[in-house]
Amino acid sequence: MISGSQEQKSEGLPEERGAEAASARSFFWGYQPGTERFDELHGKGRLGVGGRFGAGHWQRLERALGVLGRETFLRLWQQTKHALRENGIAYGSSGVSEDASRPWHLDPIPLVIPAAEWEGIAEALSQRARLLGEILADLMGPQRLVTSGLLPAEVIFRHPLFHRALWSERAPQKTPLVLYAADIARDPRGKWWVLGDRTEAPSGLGFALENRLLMSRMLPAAFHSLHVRRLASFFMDLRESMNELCFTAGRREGSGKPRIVLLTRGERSARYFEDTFLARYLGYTLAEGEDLAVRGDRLVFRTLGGLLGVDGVFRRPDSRTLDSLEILSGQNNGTAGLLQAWRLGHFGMVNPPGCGLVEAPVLMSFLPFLCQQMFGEPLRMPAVATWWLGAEAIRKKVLRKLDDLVIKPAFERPGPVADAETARLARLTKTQLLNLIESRPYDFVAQERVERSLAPIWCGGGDVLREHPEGPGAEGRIGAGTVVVRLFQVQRGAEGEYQTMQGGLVRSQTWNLPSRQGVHGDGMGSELCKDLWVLANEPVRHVTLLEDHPDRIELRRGGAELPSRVADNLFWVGRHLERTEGVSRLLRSVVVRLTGEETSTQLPEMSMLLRGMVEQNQIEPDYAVPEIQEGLQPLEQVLPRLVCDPNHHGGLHSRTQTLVRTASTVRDRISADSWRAIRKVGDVFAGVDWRRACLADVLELANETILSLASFSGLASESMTRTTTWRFLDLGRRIERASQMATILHCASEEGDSMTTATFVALLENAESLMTYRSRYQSGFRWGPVCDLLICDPTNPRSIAYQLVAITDHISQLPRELYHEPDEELFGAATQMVRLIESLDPSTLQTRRGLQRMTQIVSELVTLLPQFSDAINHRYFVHTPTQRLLGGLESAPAAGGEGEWTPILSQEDRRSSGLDPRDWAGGAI
Amino acid sequence: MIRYHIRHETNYFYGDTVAVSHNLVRLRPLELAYQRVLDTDIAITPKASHRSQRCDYFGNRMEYLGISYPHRHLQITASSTIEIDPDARPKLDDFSWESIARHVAQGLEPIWFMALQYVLPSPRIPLLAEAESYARESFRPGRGVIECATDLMHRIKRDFTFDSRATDVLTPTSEIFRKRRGVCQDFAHLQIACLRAMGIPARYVSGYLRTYPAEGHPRLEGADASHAWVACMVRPGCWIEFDPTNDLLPREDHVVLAYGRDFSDVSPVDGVFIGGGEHRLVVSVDVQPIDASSPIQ
Repeated sequence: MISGSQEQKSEGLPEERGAEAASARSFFWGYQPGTERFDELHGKGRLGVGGRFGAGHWQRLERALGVLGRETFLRLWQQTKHALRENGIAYGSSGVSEDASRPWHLDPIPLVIPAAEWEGIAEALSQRARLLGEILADLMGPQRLVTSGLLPAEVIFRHPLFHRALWSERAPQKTPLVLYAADIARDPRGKWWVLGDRTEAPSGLGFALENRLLMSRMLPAAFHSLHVRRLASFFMDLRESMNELCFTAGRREGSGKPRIVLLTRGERSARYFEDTFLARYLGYTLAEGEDLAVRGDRLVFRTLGGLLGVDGVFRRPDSRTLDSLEILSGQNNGTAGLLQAWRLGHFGMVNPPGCGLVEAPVLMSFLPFLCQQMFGEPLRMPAVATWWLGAEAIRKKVLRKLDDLVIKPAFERPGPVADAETARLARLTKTQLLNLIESRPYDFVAQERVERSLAPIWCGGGDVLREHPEGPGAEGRIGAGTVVVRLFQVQRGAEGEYQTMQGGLVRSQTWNLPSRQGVHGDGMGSELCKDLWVLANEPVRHVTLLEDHPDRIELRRGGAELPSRVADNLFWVGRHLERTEGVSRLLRSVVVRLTGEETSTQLPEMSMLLRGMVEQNQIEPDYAVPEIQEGLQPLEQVLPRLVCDPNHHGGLHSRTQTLVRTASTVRDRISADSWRAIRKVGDVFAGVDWRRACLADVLELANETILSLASFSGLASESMTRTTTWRFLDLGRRIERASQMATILHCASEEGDSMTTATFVALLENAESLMTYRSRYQSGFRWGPVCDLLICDPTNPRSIAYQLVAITDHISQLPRELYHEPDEELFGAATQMVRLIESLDPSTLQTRRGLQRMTQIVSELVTLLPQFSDAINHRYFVHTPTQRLLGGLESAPAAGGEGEWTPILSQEDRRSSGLDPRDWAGGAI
Repeated sequence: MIRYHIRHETNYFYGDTVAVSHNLVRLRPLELAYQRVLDTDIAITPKASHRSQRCDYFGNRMEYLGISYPHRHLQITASSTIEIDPDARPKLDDFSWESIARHVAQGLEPIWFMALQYVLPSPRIPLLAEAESYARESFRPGRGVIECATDLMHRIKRDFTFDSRATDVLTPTSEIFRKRRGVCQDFAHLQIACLRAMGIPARYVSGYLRTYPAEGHPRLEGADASHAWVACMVRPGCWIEFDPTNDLLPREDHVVLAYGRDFSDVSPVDGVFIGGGEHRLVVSVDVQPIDASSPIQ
């Protein structure tokens, strides 16, 4: 069988030692592909039919892995999985489950293909890409294929993805299909077949890239000795292509580098991980629909510094969601006027809108014929045989061999929806299916099955482990998995050739597991994916996009290009952070007193603390009124539940959740470590049963929350560059801290003359200033010095003065050149702020009247700060609702927006956290 | 031969400042065998930051009008001078409806291919069982398609009541069948649904009626607003128009603005705007015959 493994040292796993001598030394020992399918490892098909390219390439891999042995391999794999998890944390989609960020688990054994074979495949698929491009160009324009009868009119007129709004007399962009991906698989005789086409916004590029980075790090020696071809040149081609498009589009002269955005569906999309990963790799700005707008005839990117022209869009969302003016999608999160600006040729788009049309299986059935007609040659790589049942003559023939075929929805693009529908059809009885087809035959295609080839996969110590029937004992075992390869191509220039990625994304399903024998396609289940290694015979040149040529890098500082949406979210992260911390401190003070030896109601400082708790929405207002308090359920019993119940709005648990959720919207703006710190905050309440929590738990939880928040704050203050990004985060935090302090001081001052040492101690302790006070004043506690330390002292980072100084500094540094609206509101608020700082004069604290005046200022702050927050909101995060008018006959209700500003964090989220500025003004600080 | 001057004014009064508005209008009449466009112009206040014209998929002339600065009032005024030659309208030669339906369904010759989209369901007109059962009575075997469509039109006039309060611009066609009430848009959708149910290609026509009728003629419904009616394919490439709201075949009082599968394809003014608060819409349409010898304005 496999030769060349003799050199391996005999340090195999114990289970191998007893096995046959020859097999025991093989890295792939235990791999049993059977004889039904094509076996990639041995290059053999059914009944031993050999593949054209033999098995030499696998022997090379086998030798390289054999040098490591399975034990070392396992250790390296575990390290890699750790790195993978870390990436997931840095980019992951929900912040709750890392798994959600990757639709496919990685398998550490790459699929290897010799360069000679890969070139043949690439060439065959270039023809297909060209064909699909020409078909698209025709269908989105002259439609000669339809008028001449080459393509049944029904196919296009029934097609839900044929949007007339995307049609144009003259193509706005000369390249109808820039990025193309195909899924291919090998049949039992060793022949490659196309299973499906991806043209709308092919996904998987980011995963292919990530897999490659991980695998080349895990197996550097093997990677180099096998001369694995690099992916980087493909991405360079892609970038070049994108640049060319930007330049042919009516790009402004002489303005240097084109501005390209990667348009993503946003953080809630399953592809967000890929999008952020790709954007970073390609050096594009990540933008959501609401970051873009059309002004005049230009597509612009909304930033704090103003509107910046966009020259190119690398598009991820579906065509039908791009423009809320021209296509009524019901989702309406597009950018009104975008298509208009594109048609005028003011920016380039990859892929151009409408490309998804040819992804539907109905088109596959016509491709062999169309290729012959349009190019005068047969398809170089056949696609899995597909028949459109809308054609009567064919239908009759096909239905006779229904049992051997898969029935699929004709107009559904490959993906989870199509898979679910195919699975549903497969469950119907034959009569039901035939009746359904008879009632609307045009909606279905019949497709042959391809028995995909098999390749070794690593079982155990990996993600398969959980689901593998043989359980944990299978650690380090080699199994067999089916193989589908997604290959990517990019067109260089209008007439240019398609360049193929020298690698790709391999998807694999473990074989011989009954539960896994599902439908073909793009299932989002726990399928595996692999790296694809195209093995050259000669060493390969090193290229990467990660290190650009030093002389090409423009030095840049600052962050005027910060999207308004991101600034807004950062601001709220700051506020949530501080508010969570404030609540934790207050809780701590209260709980310590509740659990003390004295009866809590007798403690003089309790009334201030309870009032503070009420202001923070922690407890019912009744608890702050001593007369009613008696009749209430004891706080000792109520408090732990309120704190730990995730559904109690404003409770500490729910606050930490809001914080994590808000922070997840700006994940691409904060470092991986910072994100980890934030996640720690979210984990504090993990496993706490709110129904059983007691006061001791609350103390513990409050302490933990404060500590985790401190680690984030530390990272933010030590690692974030002082750009606009940081300023908005800090601005939110300062405003919140100032108002927290103002509120608690306000509560304290209400005590009037009854303030005792205990109240001062509680106040100082809550403001982390007790130590400072004690070191300054040995004589005891007085209201004057307390006020100085907590209000007027600009050197105390907890004092009001400190916050106000920081706020005015931030405001003076924020971008001013905005395209609209005077900033009188903000200016006025800032002036008032300066006036307030000046009035915080410690010398007034000596007199009784001065003290009264000071407490008055503090009360003023309680109303001023929310106004200030509002002003910032209006000035920088304008979010006016967009409305839609239909027909000029009658107005239809607003259905969303141009995407000018739709808060990522819904208004609902803000209100429920008690942080909506409007609620604030009502005195809920 | 008759000449009209048409003035179509659309006003949006916003309760609050609108920062940006994007509008897509189809307000320039089509050029047809029986309709010559002598002059057409669209004025917009405040001044558009950007405007550009193009043809849509159906050949209608559409224009994008964008305003990128704050405003509280938007006025779009379309003025056109057109000439109608009723004698140039297609002859009413009739063929059996079954043969039309069969030709479209089988699609054996290129001339029929593009007609297929007018038989298939469209965004506002889904396949409706009630449309088929309602239409059936007018489509007796062997009857000419024009005869059938005319009969259908008479029945719609008889069975349905014109009522501008019963429906709005988004009322689904199925509901019109239930309510038996509606306006021109609804009646057009209704008749199209019936014609398509029988396999006859039918399209939606948006346009205008002359505001004051010629002497001795009754004033027609929909004369002071945009109007809508139906065209049905009776021979390859030949469309005959029917006005189910007024139960007549348009000759010289109807001015065609645009064609489409249904209202969603030809909406005269579509817009998206930011801000604005509550808003009020005022539309006025005026279609005046002018002396054919007078100079074009």
